[in-house]
Parts: sequence; C-alpha cells; structure tokens
Amino acid sequence: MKRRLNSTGRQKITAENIAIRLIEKNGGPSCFEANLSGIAALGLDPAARVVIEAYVKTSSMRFDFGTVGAVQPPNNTDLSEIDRGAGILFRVKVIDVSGVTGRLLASSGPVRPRDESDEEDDRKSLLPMREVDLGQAIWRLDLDDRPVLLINRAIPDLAQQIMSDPVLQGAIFPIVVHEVMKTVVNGTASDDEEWVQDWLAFFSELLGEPFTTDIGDGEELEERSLRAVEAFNNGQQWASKARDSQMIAQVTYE
Amino acid sequence: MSDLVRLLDENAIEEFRRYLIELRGNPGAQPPMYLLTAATTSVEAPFTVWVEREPHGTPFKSRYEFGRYLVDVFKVVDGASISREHRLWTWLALYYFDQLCPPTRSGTRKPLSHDAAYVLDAEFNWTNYYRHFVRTAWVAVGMHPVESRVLLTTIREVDAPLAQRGELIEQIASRQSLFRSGTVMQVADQLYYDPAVDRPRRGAGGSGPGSPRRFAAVLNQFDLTYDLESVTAETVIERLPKEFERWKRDSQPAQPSSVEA
Repeated sequence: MKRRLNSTGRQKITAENIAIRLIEKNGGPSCFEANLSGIAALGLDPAARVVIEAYVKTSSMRFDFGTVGAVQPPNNTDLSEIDRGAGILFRVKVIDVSGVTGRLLASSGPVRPRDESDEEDDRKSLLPMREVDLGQAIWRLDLDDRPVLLINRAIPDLAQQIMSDPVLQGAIFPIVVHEVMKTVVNGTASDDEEWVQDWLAFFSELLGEPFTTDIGDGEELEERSLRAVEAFNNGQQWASKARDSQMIAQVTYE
Repeated sequence: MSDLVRLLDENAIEEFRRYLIELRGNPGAQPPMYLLTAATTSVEAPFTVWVEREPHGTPFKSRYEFGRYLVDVFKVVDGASISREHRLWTWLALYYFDQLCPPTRSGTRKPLSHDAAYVLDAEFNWTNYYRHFVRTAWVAVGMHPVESRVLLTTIREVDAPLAQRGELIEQIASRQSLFRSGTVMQVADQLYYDPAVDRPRRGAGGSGPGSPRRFAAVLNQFDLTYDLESVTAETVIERLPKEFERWKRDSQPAQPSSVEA
C-alpha cells in the first residue's frame, strides 16, 4: 500500500528557521512568541502569508503573522481556545497568495514550544540530547559519563520528532529509565554528583518512595525498575496520546 | 410565550447532571425545569434576551432553524462574551430539553450517554464543546450562515430534529480547524446538500467512497499541501478524487436556504 503525499515543491520549515516560546500567565490563558527570522533564508515570495496554528489534539487556533517580507506578530497570541492539560504544538505555514491561492509554499512539522524552563543551563536537564553519527541506528543511550541520549544526525528534525511524537517517546524513554536506574545503582559515579542526585530524585518521585543506591543489584533492583517504568508509562500515557494523534492524522493509504 | 434568559448557577448545573444520570436509569424522570427561574438556582444574565420554545408555533424543524433563531435573538449580545458562558448554554439546553430529549407518548425519554450534549463544561475543551446541541448550532450558523445547514439538517424528516447528530457534524465539527474553515464548509455544502429539498442528499450519512468520513480523510491529505482556510472551494473540488464524482456532478454553490429562522 502506498501513502499518497501531494507534495508540490513545498519547502520544509525546520527548527533552524523558527523558535516559538510559550509564556504562562497567572490566572489567564498562556500565550506565545515566535521568532520567524529564519524564514527569510528560504527564498520565498515576500508577499506570501505567514500563519501559525497552535493545536492540542482536535482543538486549534490560528494566528496571522503578516507576510514573508514583512513578518508582523498579532497583538494577541492568547491560547484561549485550546484544550488544556496536554502539550501545545505549533505548525508554521507560508501560504501562496499570487499563484495558486492557498497552496502551501512552506510548512513546518509539529513544533514544540520552548518554555521558560528551557532557558536554564543544559546541565539541569535530566537527559540531554546530542545529534551524532550513528550509522543505521536511530538512537543510543550514552552512559560513559552522565546519561545522554544520542540521536542520529542524518535524520532531519529527529530531535523535534522525538519531543513531539508519543510513539517515539514511548519507545525510547521507558528503556532509558530502566537502563539509567541500573547505571545509577551499579555504575562508578559518586552519589554526590549532581546528575546522580537528580536521577535518584526522579526515581523516588516515580516510585512514590525514597530510592537510593543502597538497593543492591539483584531482584529488588529489577523489581523497582519495572515499577518505575510502569509508573512512567502510566503518567505519560504514550499509548493514549499516540492513538489520539493517529485519529487526527487519518492518512489515506492506497 | 417568551421567557427571559437567565444563567444556571453551579449547584443547578450539578443538579441537572444528576437528573441526566437519573434519567438514564429511570426514563420517566421529569426534567427539573424549576432550576431555570428559581432565585436559588439561577442568576440574572448580564444582558436582556427573550426566548421562546416554539417561536413559530411548532417545534424547530432542524438544528439549522434552531441555530438561526439563536443567532437572531442573541445578535444584541457580544458573541465573544457568551461563547464560553457555560451557565448560559446549559440553561438553554434545559429550557429546550423537551426538544433536545423529547418524551415519547408514554412519557419516557432517552438522553444521549454524553452529558456534554446538554451540559457545557466551565473549562474549554473542544471535544466536549462541539457536542453541545445548543451552543454548536449557534456557533455553526454564526460562522457559516448558509453552509452550516449541511451539518445541522437531517437527511429525512425525523420526530426529534434537535436531538439528531449526523456523520458530517461528527467528521467536520469534531476538528476545530475544519469547522472553522469557510472553504471546507462550502465544499461540504456543495457536495452533500440538496437545495431543491432543503436537506442533505441521500447517502450523505454513509461511510463508503465519497462519504463524509472519506471527505474528512481526504481533507487531512489536502492539509499537507494547501491551507484549508485560504484555498478556494473550487480548487478543493477540482482536486477531489474520483470517488466524489457522484457528489460533484450535482453540486452547486450555496444559495440561502428557504428555512425561516
């Protein structure tokens, strides 16, 4: 069966071209800011319209950002008509106005916004991501020092896909949790190291009880690991999110 | 007889929910209409609007007619201020309950399993909001005064037109981006509405080739290449696959319906 994609020279807007930041507000809907300065490098018709759509599952809002030649954010980017309780994603579109009206000249895939906590030092991230040459492997967990998720740089936008695709997240992160727990207990890193403390705190939160490296490396560790992974899966609900995403996509197969 | 629109308070809304639960187990339970006007269960609205249950002397013939009526009576109110006023839309659902969930001759009723059809949540949630029988009729006609008829009219005459949901409304209104698009609504109206009889065409409720379900799936594909809010209806119709030929053959641009508000 073949999936039909009606591509008409549409360019891809990547993470290098745009940056979207979510701003939480007390007592009101969140809003967002977008830096679209990278779109100019795509060489698109300056008169083409730029639109950003924010969406959560089947709810969405649309914001007009002027034209390629004169990007103009709207006065109001409040996300008031978006479902809450799930991650907001964005899609940037550049729309033809002079040729075939409505044709997409460029568009992005799902864009996860950066929120204010992403501005912190990368050292605070439990699991930093690095793009490297991995041959035919999609990902690998580097445990030589602190845990780092290595992803294949040959795959365009893989980092973005991992951060927005519940199928990829559900396939990767539970394994990471399992492996890191074993490493934290059995590895050579000192308990005093900041990353060890961070992961111990994370495991304790998942398990609902204190977790330390005193546990030993036998059956008890395996049992705790399985429980932590189950708690992680239940909390993140990968399967439900993946099912909801696929209901939205509904691609046509021939 | 006209009634002044009020708002249900939160306790009244919970009591309405409890009534719906009771009704599902006891089909003869009577709706708590006293909630609409009692000072202990309802509050004054910040506007003055009067409504009638049968403005033309008979129940509404379709949700489209109902939506047109609501748009007309609420035209004096800023739409943005009431769009998410859950107390208003729940009040109206209770007010019109005899048409949203009509009793049989024996006095029994069969409500939908989702409270969302009658009770609007305080917090915005599209999946629930589009299910509300009253608000969605008002929103649809407000956004698409003519084309919304294809979503809000039944294929054939039924006893309880306000209580009906069709395949088209499920496929289109369930996704905010499609529901919002004037182009999508124009195409749906051209394909599936028969102005000669003022109803959707026979077969428009099916699920085979060219059906609304397939239409929604094809629109997902279009969305990869076109902006569904900017592209013209003609462009979309030209590019629909062969399975839609049957519907394209008889289609024509929307003209105002003959249905009176």
